[in-house]
Amino acid sequence: MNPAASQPDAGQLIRQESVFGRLPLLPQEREYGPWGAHATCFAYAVATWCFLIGGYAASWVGAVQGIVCLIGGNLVGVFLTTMPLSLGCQRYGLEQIEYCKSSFGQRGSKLVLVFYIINMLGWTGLILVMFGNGIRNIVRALGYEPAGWVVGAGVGLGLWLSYLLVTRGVHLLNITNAIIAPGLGLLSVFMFYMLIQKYGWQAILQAPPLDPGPDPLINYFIVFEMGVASGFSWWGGIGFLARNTRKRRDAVYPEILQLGLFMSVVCCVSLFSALVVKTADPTEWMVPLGGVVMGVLALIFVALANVTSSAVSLYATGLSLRHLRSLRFAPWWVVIAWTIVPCLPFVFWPHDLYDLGDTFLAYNGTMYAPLSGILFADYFFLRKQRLNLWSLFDDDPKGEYHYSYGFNWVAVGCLVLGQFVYLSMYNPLTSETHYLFRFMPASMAACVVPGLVYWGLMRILNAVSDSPPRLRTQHRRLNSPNI
Amino acid sequence: MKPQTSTAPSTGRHAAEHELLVRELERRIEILENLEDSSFGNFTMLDWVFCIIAFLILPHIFLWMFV
Repeated sequence: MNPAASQPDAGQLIRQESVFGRLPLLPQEREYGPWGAHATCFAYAVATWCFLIGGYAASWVGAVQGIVCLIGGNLVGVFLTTMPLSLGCQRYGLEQIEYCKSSFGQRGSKLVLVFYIINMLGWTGLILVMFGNGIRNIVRALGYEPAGWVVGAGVGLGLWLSYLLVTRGVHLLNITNAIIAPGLGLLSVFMFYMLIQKYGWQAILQAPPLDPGPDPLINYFIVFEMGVASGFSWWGGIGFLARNTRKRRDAVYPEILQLGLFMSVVCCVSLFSALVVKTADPTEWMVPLGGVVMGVLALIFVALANVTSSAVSLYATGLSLRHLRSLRFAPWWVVIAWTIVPCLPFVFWPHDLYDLGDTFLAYNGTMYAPLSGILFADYFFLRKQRLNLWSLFDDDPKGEYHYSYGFNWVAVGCLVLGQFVYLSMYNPLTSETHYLFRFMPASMAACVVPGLVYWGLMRILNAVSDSPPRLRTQHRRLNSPNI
Repeated sequence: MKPQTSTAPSTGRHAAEHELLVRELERRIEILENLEDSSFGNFTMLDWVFCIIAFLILPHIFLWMFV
């Protein structure tokens, strides 16, 4: 469904703009109690990217260390990124880009939007290469040798199907997700059962990593870093879920438990599969594990799941593009067509880009770790969990969050500092590490250091008013509304 | 006085929609600003202690146990 459909009546328009758009959600409009929040987070968490992350981890470590790194790392990353976003977005019914204006400024939040879009489209591309690989492996399982272009063509087909799904209606997307998420959960259980039946627990525990580096300790910390970074990469989905919850605990615990814990459990099943089947490509496990018939059926199912996962990403990206003035009232199909353009390189260079998947995970750490640290310091330590909603939606230069020309340069500088800290500790392209990397994951350092510096500088510059927002904003009207 | 909108659209239909949204936005801000924090549920010190131990400290302890 087009979130800004043509000629809606007033009630319909307001509902669309509150549920799918940028209007803050009122408590009575929110959909999720505890069970609803858990179910939605589960559906969000159990997606095909779990298979990718587990596969990448298998390159570096064995099963036991992989379990520790994926579960522990994910929990740490999700916790740090969830707390400010969940509690802030839940209290004020905001989505995350809006929420960032308090620390980054009206225009500065658009920088965050760029990060967000890169993240979503990167995942879309990787998932669709997995879709293309799935098609190639189905053809192979049927006894044919596919040509080299099949994977790229598969990516193109996946983009087209995702486009159709997103432009035909969110209802269709909801229906397919309602089938796909539990189906993937069952598939993971089935894969785990087949692994134990076929190879046994001992073989899984003893299987060596696929392509480890020379130093086992560094390999271990790299996978922990991967876990933390994948936890941070949930940043983009947290605000959307939290603003729809009625109570604070419903915003925090389901996100940490489902996106952090259960997601990593599914990652672990894919880690085990990769270790015993000896390939990091998830689409190559299904036939060896399940036999030709079950394997091909599983591959078809995963291929469908890839399309719905990428459709969800494109949908979320499309919504976020509504923040841009030029696309604010553009037809929905135009917005989605724009989201597809940056994914096109995956059609032409699928394997090269797919191989950079673990680097992409690390890149998420460089983006979202400093952002999370800054938001943590801003919301809890500087603003004491109080935001000025009037200023969030007002471009008036006298507004509290306008800062300098719409940018809070302290936050922007700290974001750059965080990326510098990250890359000094760990270079995801070359896997080179700093000595300190043994004591703290790069993502953690890239979260803590900018957070502390931001807090210190904002205190020194006295950039946050001490009076409660309510006293500052009574009887105000929006002078320059930015909705 | 009509607000100076920074994202105000030019066409008639969009302008009307936009004005409706601005009015609705102001109404919602008023409501949300005036609601008590307690109506959004609790997240107490005990929750914080639990979260920090379970999701931050324990993962690091396990990490070092399996080095």
